[in-house]
Amino acid sequence: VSEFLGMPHVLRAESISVASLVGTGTLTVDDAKVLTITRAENDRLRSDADTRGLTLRSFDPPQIPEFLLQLCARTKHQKAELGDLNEIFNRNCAQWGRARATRLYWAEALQSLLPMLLRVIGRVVKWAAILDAIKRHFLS
Amino acid sequence: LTTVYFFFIFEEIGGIARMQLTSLDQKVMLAAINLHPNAYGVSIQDHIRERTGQKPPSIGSLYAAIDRLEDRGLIKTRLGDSTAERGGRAKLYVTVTAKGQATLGQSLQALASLGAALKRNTVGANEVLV
Repeated sequence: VSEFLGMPHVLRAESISVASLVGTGTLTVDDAKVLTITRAENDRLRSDADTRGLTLRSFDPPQIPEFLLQLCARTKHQKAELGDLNEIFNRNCAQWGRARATRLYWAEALQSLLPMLLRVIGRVVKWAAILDAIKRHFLS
Repeated sequence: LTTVYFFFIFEEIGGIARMQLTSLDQKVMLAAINLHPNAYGVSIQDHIRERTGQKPPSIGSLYAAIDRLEDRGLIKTRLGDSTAERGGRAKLYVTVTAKGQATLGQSLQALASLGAALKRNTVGANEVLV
């Protein structure tokens, strides 16, 4: 099951009994019939596997956008935010394949960075104005 | 002196913005109410996509809104379970507070009254056409 869920391309679950796959834990993938899995089926498989205590293989997201997000995200919710992006990345890996999931991660990260950067710039401008005012008042 | 003056102008602008709920704030709060008690970043994003049929906000915008609403006391957050597919990171569950529900109600009511005016005008326009 972990192999099945970890693969970027998997058989379309419509033609397969999901319950029997999870039950046996084995799957033979025919390379000629590699298709994608739907999001709902992926979620169902994952929750099924969770209840059975199976460990699922997960992919690591691309490092550069993750690093940029770590730099800019607010400390309080940073981990949860990165966790959400990680979850979306793994879901996209199962649905679209790793290459497209990586592109989508970059897109999502860049979209997420914009409000964070604006927040950081806002704080910098605010403190620069305060420091400038103090400098002018006391040093001139 | 000019810098100080501009600083206070920006503070005033920020103050006005903090008093109002943006469209994103409303969506996040409504999604959190609908998904209670399982409202977290990904589920909120999915819910907005499914219900509105529009492109959902990015995770960054979503967390900026959550931050803002939490600072105003309109929502509460708690850390939940972490899974392997999240890289071992915990989920941040969101709950709308009583103050949040009241503010959201007022905000939606204001919008509804504007919508009623639009409806009246549409009816009037139809009557003219007939």
